[in-house]
Amino acid sequence: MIWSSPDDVLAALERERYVADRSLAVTLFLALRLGKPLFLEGEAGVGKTEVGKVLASALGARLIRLQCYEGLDLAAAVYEWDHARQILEIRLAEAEGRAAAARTRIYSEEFLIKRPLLDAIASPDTPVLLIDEVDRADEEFEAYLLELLSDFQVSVPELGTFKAKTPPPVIITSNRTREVHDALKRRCLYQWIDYPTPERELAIVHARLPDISERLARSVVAVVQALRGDDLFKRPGVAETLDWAMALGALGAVALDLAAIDSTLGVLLKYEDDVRHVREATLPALAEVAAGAG
Amino acid sequence: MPVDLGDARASDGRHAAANLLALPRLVRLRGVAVDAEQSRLLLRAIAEIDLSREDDMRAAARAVLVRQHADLARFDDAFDTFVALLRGARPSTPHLARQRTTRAPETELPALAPENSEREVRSSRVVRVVASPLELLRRVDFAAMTAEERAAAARFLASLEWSPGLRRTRRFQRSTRGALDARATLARSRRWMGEPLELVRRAPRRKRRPLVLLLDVSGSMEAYTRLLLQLAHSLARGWGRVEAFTFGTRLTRVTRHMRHRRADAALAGAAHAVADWSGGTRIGDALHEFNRRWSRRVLGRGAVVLLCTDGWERGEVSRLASEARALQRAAYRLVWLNPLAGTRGYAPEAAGAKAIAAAVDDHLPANTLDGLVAIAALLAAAGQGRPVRRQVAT
Repeated sequence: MIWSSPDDVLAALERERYVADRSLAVTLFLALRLGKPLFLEGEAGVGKTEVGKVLASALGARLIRLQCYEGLDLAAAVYEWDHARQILEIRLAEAEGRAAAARTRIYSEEFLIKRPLLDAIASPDTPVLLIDEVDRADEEFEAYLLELLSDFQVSVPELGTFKAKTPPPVIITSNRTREVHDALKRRCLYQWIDYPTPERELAIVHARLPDISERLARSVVAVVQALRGDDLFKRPGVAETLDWAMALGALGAVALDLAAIDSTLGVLLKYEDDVRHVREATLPALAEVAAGAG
Repeated sequence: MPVDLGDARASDGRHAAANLLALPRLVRLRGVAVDAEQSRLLLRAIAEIDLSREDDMRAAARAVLVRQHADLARFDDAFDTFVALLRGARPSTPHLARQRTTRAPETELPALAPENSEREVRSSRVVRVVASPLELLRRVDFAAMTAEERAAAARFLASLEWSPGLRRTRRFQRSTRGALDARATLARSRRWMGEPLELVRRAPRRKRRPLVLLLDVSGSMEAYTRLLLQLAHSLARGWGRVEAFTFGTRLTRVTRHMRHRRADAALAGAAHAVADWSGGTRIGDALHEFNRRWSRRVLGRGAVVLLCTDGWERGEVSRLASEARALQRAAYRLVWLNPLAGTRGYAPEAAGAKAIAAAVDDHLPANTLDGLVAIAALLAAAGQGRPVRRQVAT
């Protein structure tokens, strides 16, 4: 591994414009050092998926991402035979009078479609494997994942066993729409990603959107932080902060006033009830917060 | 394994490492499950980092010892104690001595529903119990039962077979009927030199629906609370995917306690956790809290919600109405179990009850065993569809 301390990890993430808090850097460092998958939990939009992407680019490795969903099966997650090509091959072989040879040939690696998990294991380089939103998958997939993460090998009955030379770094994210089974968590290091502090959020805005003025950035962060303390169904995440700052920048806003907040509220809040609540109850207070911070 | 923490006077890293195994114990003392594998991993993790940095050590230990968000605060508390001990604080004896007793005492049963003594002396009851307990008990209001009758009712509930409602999953399985599975048919045709001679079909696999129970434990529900918890327990045992919450003035999740094998232990655990027994009811606030904090986490995958309350709302009714509607939207099916509904001539006239009645899919009596049996039947059918919902102008 190229990093020898959590400070190195922190610096590397910063070069990728990801502002992490120290505990995430320590956990990430340990996950790489101990060869353990990293299990990330947190509210939507706090930058869990981003950790995987940033880690891959910081390591100069390929990112292999598996988006989970209910009903995710082996054919979509691990491997599948390319049936259509196999059948074509059979027909061709028949026509050329070498049907016997086709029998073994159609089960060679050439006809195997590698899906993300097999790809991550069979790859000669060491990629970063991101298993995104594992809580969306069902228990059947979780059980398979458990097996995979314990020995990093996949066996294809017709072909043989693939085993990773070096187990790839694995990042697993969850939004907690379901409790993920303890056995899976037992294989991993655990990290909860919280909403950032105002200082860190400001640093994130500056790192990601260098063109946004200091004054606007401060107001945006102050308003979002205030909104998170409000009684909302869906509190805005860092992703919303960045979207909002970008939207305001695109509109040419220099400072945040009541009208600007009101007209762009839809970027921050994604539920009608929340929008109505803020419009009715807290909008003037938010404008004051923005003015105070800017 | 005794570790004399009192002698480690320096916050020097080596001392920390030497005493490190005390940390999993401290964490365990606070009710977080830590296994031996985690303790071993902790040693490996600590070896990788700079021990002079307390924050790094905390982050490393947390990554290894914690597995869920709910345990984070308890871990931090344990780590604070650990650091204090390293710095020379003497371990407070009661703290360490508490190791075993912090678990909810299983023997001692807090009174969930005090028996009504004036009812116990009624002579008719005695006769009935003697005659044919269960048959007669089935139609008796829980509020009017004696202690023995309640026990009999509880045993009956525990023996009740709950056949859960099913939902279609997104996962498919081979089936003789159903849509053509083109992929499998193609794969099969390799056997016939590329001719699709056998058609393979597939149909969605079915799975039990998750069940969520919201139990009112306020004063007006006192007579029913215990049996409803009993019901929650037998459902959790028989069904598996059950989440249980209680509410009066605040919402408490008691899912963990319901997993206990023994019913009395489960109830004792819940009694221990719930702080607002027999108080007032703010149903609207409780549903609000549930909708905000829990609905996304427990109402996925077509959950059926059982709301057990009499509808006596002390808070704002308009809030209750909007929260109940939000709950219905998030749930596959919202069933209201109302102990009052079994009373002859009852109609939801109170403002709170009216608001709930307008937002639920089913409204069922839950004051007798027969009522609960009917609910079991409804649940079994719940997977097959739900009553049509009409949009209500707000």
